Amino acid sequence: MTSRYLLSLIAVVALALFPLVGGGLGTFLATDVAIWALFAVSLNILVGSTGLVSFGHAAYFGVGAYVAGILLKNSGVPFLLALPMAGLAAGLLAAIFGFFCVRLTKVYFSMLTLAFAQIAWALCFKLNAVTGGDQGLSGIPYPDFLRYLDGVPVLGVLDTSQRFHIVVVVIVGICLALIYRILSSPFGRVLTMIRENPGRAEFVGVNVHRYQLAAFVLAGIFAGVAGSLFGIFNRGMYPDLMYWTKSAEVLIMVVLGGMGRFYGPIIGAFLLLWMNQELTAITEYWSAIVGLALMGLIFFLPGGFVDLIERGRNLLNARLGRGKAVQAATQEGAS
Amino acid sequence: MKSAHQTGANGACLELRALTKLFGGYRAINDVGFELQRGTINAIIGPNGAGKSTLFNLITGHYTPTTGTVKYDGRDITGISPHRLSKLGIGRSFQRTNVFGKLTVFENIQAALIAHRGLGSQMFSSSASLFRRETNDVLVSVGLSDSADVLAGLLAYGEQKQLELGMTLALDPTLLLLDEPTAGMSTAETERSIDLIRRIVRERGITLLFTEHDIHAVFSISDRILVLERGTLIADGLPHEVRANEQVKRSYLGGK
Repeated sequence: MTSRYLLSLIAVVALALFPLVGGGLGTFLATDVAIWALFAVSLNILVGSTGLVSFGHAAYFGVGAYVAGILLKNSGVPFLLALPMAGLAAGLLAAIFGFFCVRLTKVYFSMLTLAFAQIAWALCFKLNAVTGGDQGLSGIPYPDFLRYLDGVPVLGVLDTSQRFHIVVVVIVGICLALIYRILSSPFGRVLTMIRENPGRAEFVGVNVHRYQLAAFVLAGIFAGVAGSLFGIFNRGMYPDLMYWTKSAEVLIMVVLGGMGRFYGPIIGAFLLLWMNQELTAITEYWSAIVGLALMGLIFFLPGGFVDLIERGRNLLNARLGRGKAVQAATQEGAS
Repeated sequence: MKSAHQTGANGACLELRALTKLFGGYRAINDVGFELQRGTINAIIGPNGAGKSTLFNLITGHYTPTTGTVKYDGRDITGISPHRLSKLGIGRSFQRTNVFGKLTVFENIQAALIAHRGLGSQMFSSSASLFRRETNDVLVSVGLSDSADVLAGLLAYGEQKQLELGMTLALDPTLLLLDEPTAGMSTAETERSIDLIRRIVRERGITLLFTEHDIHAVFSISDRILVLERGTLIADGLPHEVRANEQVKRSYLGGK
């Protein structure tokens, strides 16, 4: 258990220091992946843990971005305050939309989340005075405190966007740790019960709608934090952030990576953005290739890419003659 | 009927009064009323489609009755939602097995305890080591200790039923409603399950209401038997009274 924490901590530090070796483009991609990873993991609170397939998760990402943008640009609120406020605003919106959505099941739930997200997108488009309409908001400042790195040895050489990468990785790391903690809590266990069998959960005393709503709000909060990071990273917010294709993209990441495991969506975010980057350089039909990859995955690896990793790990461990210990470890991970 | 009422003698646990349920024009349950005495074992029997499951769903709030009331411990629980019923001490198992397939046997019971004891709102503590002793106790009482770490979805059918019983018992119910607890089991399994249920129910003084297709099992453990036919209660009494009832013989036990 402690070794897992230690490993995660090392991973976060290593990724945070990536700009030192990654260069400009590499760092840009790494920041992008980190933000989308948080966005995808937040969606997986619903899809993988609670069994609710939201098709409108971009709404909360977008609202987070806009709220952070407005607070930073117009009100001069400091970054470290704007970020949680953006998350809370997204959570509030999720509470309102979710109140209605959790009353529906299956495809009806998905459709209603989509409908609400499109309403949010349309409002964003029309409310010129607040959101800047289709022009969006631009010129969002980077956090002030990044200049303090000037005097720090080694890190002082990094430019502002590379410094912001460090901030992103640290915040994403903290959020992921929080989500992990929440999902392995008694609350998380109740979500699993709901995913597995809502009718039975109800009959051991679970108020299913209330827990589904709580999951919806949590997912919204973390999507909002991811969105605000994305807005600042992009130096602007546009209605496109909330468009349904963004909801689809993050859902693809979750499925591609694998919704059955905590780190699945992180792998999915990396894979999709990486494929996007590599394939657009080769062919303009890159999305067709992504489509084929997704098809292949659904047919041969329904558990997502993490399935492949897990199988490889099991095989390796079986070869090493530690089969039993591994099985116990995988079961622990699955719960 | 009268003699059955005297066996408990310490008050009604569950009381149904003039319960009727219409589906469109179809009378699924027609003016059914009875009281269950505390600590007794009661069976509802009747041919397929007699309305046994509908009656269960009316008691547990899945359906709202068209007319009539359901009282538990003297308090009106008509149409109350299932998660509140279980807090009141009413446990239910389902005809089709109903476990959390991707959780282990241990985790199934543990999850039931977490939900029932209201720990679900705790977000920042770890769930893994909660209720270890209580969970193991339940597993022992339903005979699943050896399969604690098996995924519930991989259990044999009869064991899943046992697990479901365990989850229901984890809620420490005073009233237990079991819908076909032995459906799909072999004769040997049925016998074992019925024994298990009887032992647990007697030990804990639980009031049991169950439906069952295995007539032999019904007559072997029940204090009282209710016979339902086309939504109407046609007989209600001690096993030997029901066995002797002409109408029941004609419409249900006929062949035997």
